[in-house]
Amino acid sequence: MQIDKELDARGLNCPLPLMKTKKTLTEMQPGQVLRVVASDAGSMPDILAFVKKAGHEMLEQQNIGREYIHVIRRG
Amino acid sequence: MDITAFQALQSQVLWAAFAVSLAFGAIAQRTNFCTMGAISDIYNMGSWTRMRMWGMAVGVAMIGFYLMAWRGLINPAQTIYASAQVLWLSALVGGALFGLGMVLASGCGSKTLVRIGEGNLKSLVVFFVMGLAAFATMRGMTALLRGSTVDRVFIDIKPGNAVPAWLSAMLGVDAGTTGLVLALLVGGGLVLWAIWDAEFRSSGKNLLAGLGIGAVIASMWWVIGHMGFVPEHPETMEPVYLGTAGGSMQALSFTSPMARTLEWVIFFDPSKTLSLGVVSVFGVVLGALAYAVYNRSFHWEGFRGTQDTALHIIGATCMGIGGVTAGGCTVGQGLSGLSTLSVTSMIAVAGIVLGALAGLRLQMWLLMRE
Repeated sequence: MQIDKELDARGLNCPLPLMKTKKTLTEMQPGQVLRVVASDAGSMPDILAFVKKAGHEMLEQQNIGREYIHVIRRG
Repeated sequence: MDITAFQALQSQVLWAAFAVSLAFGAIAQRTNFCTMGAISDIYNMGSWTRMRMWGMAVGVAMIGFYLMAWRGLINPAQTIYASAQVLWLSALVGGALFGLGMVLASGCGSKTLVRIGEGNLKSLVVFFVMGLAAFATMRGMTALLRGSTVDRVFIDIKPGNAVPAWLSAMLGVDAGTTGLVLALLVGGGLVLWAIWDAEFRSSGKNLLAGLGIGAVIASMWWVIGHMGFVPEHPETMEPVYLGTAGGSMQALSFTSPMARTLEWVIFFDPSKTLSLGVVSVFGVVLGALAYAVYNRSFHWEGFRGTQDTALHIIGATCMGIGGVTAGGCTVGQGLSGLSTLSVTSMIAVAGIVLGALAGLRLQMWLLMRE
């Protein structure tokens, strides 16, 4: 899968991972793919809820060790 | 009651308060219950799920409180929220400062304690700064500022802050019945509003948060207001609520307890008993830690950089000053205070929401500058 942009949100806590994800997606073109890496477990439900509400597509979410990875296609 | 029995009961009350706080910490960790998060979710994505959790918790706590009052188990006129003075400016300004601070510091007082339990060292720094700022606003530099400014503006209302008390006096109806009816209407309304939403209902986690946190607050009212009520202190012969710093009836709150925890650590005296505030701080941290270890989500985390550090310190300072000025935090005024239907609590919560919205706008502005 081609990743068009990477966002490092490690070390940030709510509400920043969500807000940074939201801001980054507005700067991307529809169809482009963003990969977000966060360290806050709360980012999993928060970013998933945002993606659904905002009409984007969550391609993948996984927890690897201390990192929470979100791959999102901009709607 | 003799002094030996008094001391034994005091110990039982503090252990019960600790157990209730453990439950709060574990439930909050498990469900991601967060007042700041609830406001942020509405602001950033129009999602009301976590606000429904919060509303449901208030509703359950309110119904529990006034059910106990109706049964004569607790006396609503004796809570710290029942005063005849409405310090409306302190509540509004303090609330707004607290709300701003909790956004900058990644969460309110209770979320800070939960995050400490999860291994977040940023939140440990927030705890120390918030406790220091709170202490200064209780007894130090900012206490003088508070007392000479916002605290001078108040309205006297009889018979007190709680709405059921006014209605009861106005209508000439029994206070217990008035309180219960109002709690069922308002609290029941909040619960219905929460569970009306299919998305909210579909998650057991949401229901656990709303019911669980609400039950925790109601339980603490029972522990302090019923179990801990002694009609005659063996030495002073005055009525007293065991385990509380001022001897008055209260439930969970976290701003001044953080200050009292620092005070207990610094001026440690094994001959002095602990208070509700100190045991609840440890209880929440340990409850969150226990669940974080159980579900393997515990991990050490530190600051991202200079700006992250500065914002957390500023946020913690705002929370400490604001929380004491407002007479409580998102839990103290928000959950515990609102469960009594206190007018000052309603004003403080409105201030907290306004401050949080300002904080979210500030965070967005900072992001746009990057």
